[in-house]
Amino acid sequence: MKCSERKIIGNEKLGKDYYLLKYESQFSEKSIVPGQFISISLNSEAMVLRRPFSIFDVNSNVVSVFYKKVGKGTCILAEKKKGELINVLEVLGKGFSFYDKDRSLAVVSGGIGVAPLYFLAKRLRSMEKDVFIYLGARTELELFFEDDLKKMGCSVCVTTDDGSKNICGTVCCGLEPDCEKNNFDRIYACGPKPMLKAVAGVADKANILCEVSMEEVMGCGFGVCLGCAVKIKTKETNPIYKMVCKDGPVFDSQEIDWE
Amino acid sequence: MNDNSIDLTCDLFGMKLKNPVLTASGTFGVGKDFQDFYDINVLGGIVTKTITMNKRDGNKPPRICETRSGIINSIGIQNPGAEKFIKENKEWFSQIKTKLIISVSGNTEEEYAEICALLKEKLEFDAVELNVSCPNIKKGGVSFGEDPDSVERIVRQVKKRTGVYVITKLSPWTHLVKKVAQSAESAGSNALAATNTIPAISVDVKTFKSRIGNVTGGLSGPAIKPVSQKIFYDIVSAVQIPVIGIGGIETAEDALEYIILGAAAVEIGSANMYNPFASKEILDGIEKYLKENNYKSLIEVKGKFSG
Repeated sequence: MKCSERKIIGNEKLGKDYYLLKYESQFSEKSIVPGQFISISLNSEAMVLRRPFSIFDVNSNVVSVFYKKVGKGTCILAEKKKGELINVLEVLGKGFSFYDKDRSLAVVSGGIGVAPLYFLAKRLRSMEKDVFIYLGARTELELFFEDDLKKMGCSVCVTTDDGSKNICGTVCCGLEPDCEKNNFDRIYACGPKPMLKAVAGVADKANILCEVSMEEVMGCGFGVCLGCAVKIKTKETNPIYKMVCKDGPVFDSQEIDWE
Repeated sequence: MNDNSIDLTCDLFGMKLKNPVLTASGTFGVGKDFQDFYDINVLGGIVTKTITMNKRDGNKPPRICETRSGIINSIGIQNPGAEKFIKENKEWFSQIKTKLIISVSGNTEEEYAEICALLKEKLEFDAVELNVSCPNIKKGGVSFGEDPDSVERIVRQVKKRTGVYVITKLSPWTHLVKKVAQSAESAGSNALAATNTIPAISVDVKTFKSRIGNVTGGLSGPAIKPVSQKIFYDIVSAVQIPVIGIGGIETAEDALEYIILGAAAVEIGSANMYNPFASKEILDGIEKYLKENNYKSLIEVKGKFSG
C-alpha cells in the first residue's frame, strides 16, 4: 500500500460522462490483481473523503481508471489534465481469484461495472481461458469496449435496457440461456447491486460458482474505519459485516446477504 | 538534547508523551495498517478502536457519508470483544514503542471497570480512554457522557478497581459539558479528551431517506473544528487536569489552535482516514512552527490564548 502524488498521463472523454484516466503508478501490471482498486484524493476542502476506483487496465506501470461523471467528486476528476498530479492511494483490496482448472468463464458487466472486468478479461485471456463477456448497458451510448474485448479473443454478448443495441433486456437475459451451453466453471460480475443479486441468482440456479465485486461508500479504503460494511449471510441471529475495502471488494456471491 | 532541538514532550500528570500527537479512536485501527506509510512510533501515542466486553456486530450500512468538509459515521463500535481483541493484538502491541491507549466502552456503567480489569490482567498498555460519548450506542436514547452522575460512577469504578491512567472522552452533546468534565475530574480521571463526534444527519432528496443506515450518526472532520474548539475551551477552563483536544484537526495549525487554547495533547481523527500521513505531517508541522517562531518547547505556547 502506497500513497503518493502521481502524474496523470491522460484523462480522455470516451462518451457523455465517461472518462478514462491514466496515471503513472508505483505498481506494475504483475503486482496487481484484477478487481483491486485505488483511491484518489480530490484535494478539495469540501469533499474530504477519497474516491475509490476499480483498476480498469495496467500496462507496465500505467494504471487506467474508467469512470463515470456522477457526482461532484467525479466532476472534479474529469477536469484534471495531462501532466497534473493526483494523490493516489494504491493498490487496495482483494481482487478476483483464479483457478488453473477453470476453462470456461463468464464475465458479466452492468454499466460502469465494466471498470474492473476489462483487466480481468485480459488476465484470463493471458491464461488462455475461454472468456464469455456479457456486456450490459442502459443504451448503446453507454456501451464501451465491445470491440476491444472481442480483439482480446473474448466472446461478447451485448444487452441494452432500451434495446438500442442487440438484445433488449438485462445482462441476465444474455447470461442465463448460455449457462448450460457454455459449461461455465465460474462467473465473475460487477455492476449495480440489483444486477449482482440477479446474476448471483442465475449462478445459484445453474450451480455455478460466482464472484461479485461490491461497492459501498468508503472511508479510509484499507480497513481501519469499518465504514464500508456489507452484510454477510449467516444462520445466526446476529448480523455479520465484512468490509468492502479490505475483505473485498470481490466476494463469493453466496457469501452476500442480498436481502 | 542539543541546542537546536525543540522540546515537544507533554506532561499529562502521570503520563509523559514524547510529543502531543495522538490518534483518535476508530480512525487508526490498532496502528498496524499505518506502518505501510510511516513508523507510527514517532507519534506521541495511539488510541485504539473502542472495544466492549462482548463482540459487537456494528450498525447496518450505509455507515458513512460525506457532508461538506465533514464525514458522518455510524459504525456502532464493531469490535470482536475484549478477550479476542487482546488475543489478536497482544503481539503487535508488544512491538509498539510509543504510548498505547486502549479505548473502552460499556453497555452498562459496570462494564467499563470490568474491561479495564481484564486489560490490566492480560495486556501491557499505558492508559485507557473511556468512551462515554459515542453517539451511536445509547441506552435509553442518552449516552453516559451526557449525564454527570453516570460519568462520575464510571470513572470512579475504573479507578478504584484498576488504578490505571484514565482519560475520559467527553460528549459535545450536552449543555452540561463543564459539569460532566468536573464530575470526571472529581472521580479521579487523570485527563479528559474533548470531544467526540457531534450528532448529525444527512438527507437524500432522491430517496427521502437518511444517508446513514442508523438514520443519525456523528459528524467529524474540518466542519466541526470551530464548534469542537468552543466546547474544548469551555471544558479546559473548567478543570485542572490535562485536556486533550480533538475535533476537526487536519493540519498542524489546527492542532496548534487547540494547544494555544490549552490542550495538553491532541488527537487526530478523520484526517487519518483520508490522508494516511496526516498524524505524522501534523507532528512535523508543529515542530516546524515552533522552530520558525523561535520557541524552544511546546510549553511556551500551551494555554497562551489571550482572548
